[in-house]
Amino acid sequence: MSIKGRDILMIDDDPSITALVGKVLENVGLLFRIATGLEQAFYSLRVQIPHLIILDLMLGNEESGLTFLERRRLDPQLNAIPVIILSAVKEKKVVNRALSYEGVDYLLKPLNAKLLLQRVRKNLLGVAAKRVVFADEDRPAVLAQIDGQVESINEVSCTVLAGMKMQVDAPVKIKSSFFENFFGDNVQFITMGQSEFVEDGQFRARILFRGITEEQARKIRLAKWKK
Amino acid sequence: MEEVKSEKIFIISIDDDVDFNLLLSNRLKNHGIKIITTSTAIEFADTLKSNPTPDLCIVDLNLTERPGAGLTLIEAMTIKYPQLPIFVMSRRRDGADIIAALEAGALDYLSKPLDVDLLLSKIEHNLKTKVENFVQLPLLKIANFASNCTLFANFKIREINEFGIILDCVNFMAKGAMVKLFGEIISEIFQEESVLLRVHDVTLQRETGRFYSFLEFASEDQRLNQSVRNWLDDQLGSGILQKS
Repeated sequence: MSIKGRDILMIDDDPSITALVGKVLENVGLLFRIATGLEQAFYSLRVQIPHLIILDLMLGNEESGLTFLERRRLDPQLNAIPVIILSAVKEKKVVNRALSYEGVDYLLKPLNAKLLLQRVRKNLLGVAAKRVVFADEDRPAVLAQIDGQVESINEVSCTVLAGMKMQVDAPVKIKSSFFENFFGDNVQFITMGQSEFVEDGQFRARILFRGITEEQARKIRLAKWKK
Repeated sequence: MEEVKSEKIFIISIDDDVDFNLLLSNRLKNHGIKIITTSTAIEFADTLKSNPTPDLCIVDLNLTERPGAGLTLIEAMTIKYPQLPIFVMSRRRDGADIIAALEAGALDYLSKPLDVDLLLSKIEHNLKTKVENFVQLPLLKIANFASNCTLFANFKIREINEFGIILDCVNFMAKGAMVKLFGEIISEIFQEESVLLRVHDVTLQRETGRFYSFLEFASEDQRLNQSVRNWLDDQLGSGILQKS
């Protein structure tokens, strides 16, 4: 499963480290934002819940990272967000206290980008994405539009290349300024047989014109003779 | 009435133009097609009764027996013989006529004067058969720049999550295809008429034979991602974090 598009909040007041971490994470398609202190962090969390928090323990030379973890513990919604502590603090007592909170991982500075990415990926994959699943009878309808190309044409049919395999022997709705050169709304389009796989991302469908007049067929024939 | 027992393509037609009937019969005979031409509704009905399974019926839309006789005949045939393919022929080129004929149940429409190649081509395609002594009409290859088209299909949304939309489709969409979605729910979530997404993955649902296509949100489009997450928060009731 891809982690692209997931949202990371980093709480750290060191711009050199946040710039570096930001670069690493954005390179793999993650969304990255920064808070330099606790109040800014909580403001940011009120705006949008991230998928993961990267936290420095020493914010403004105080162990306010631990204060954050304590406030997080008291909020069920915050407590569900995994935290990776990225800190220069090695003192066993502090590290153990940090790790005693739920969903917390610990990495020592200086930054090891590869290790950080590994831990980020591991923690993100454990987070269930928010989703709404619709029951069969409630599924909202959408109209999908896919671009294609009319590849060839004769008086009764054409071939179309597109990134979609069409249903067999079924009506299909196609719009093209190319067709407007030859006919108007009276012509219906019906697929003929199976679409043929052409190459990655492309299928060729043969489409029958239904209701084409002799005059319209003649226009196509003339175009063929001109060629 | 004449009864036909043969493996050849077999057609019954009705047209009150006797000359046209002769022309049609002669031209189709060259291609191994057996045709019984009739010129009145009664004769046509009797022929059909004796030979209830022709491969195709050709009906002149402009029968002079009475106004609208051709259309009435087609409507009656589609009720009594729902599986019977019908082509309509007409001297008129009125788009409304064509639409009326197709809506009445005709499979296709041909203009007079008779274009045999067109007729034979439509017979081959619609009946999925090969006509003797007939080479299909050649296809004209189109220059790339002139030929863009747009295909439309109606789908249902199975799921919306933070990373994309899962569509329930009868059509298989290729991975990497770009799809533009329109609909009320799209406008509701994105405050735009449409959204353009890439097909990331497709799975087949064996029980139904349908496909679940996962269309991914572009991770770099922050506004799009924000919109869907806000919508999900509203739907799921999590709302905005309260200050502790």
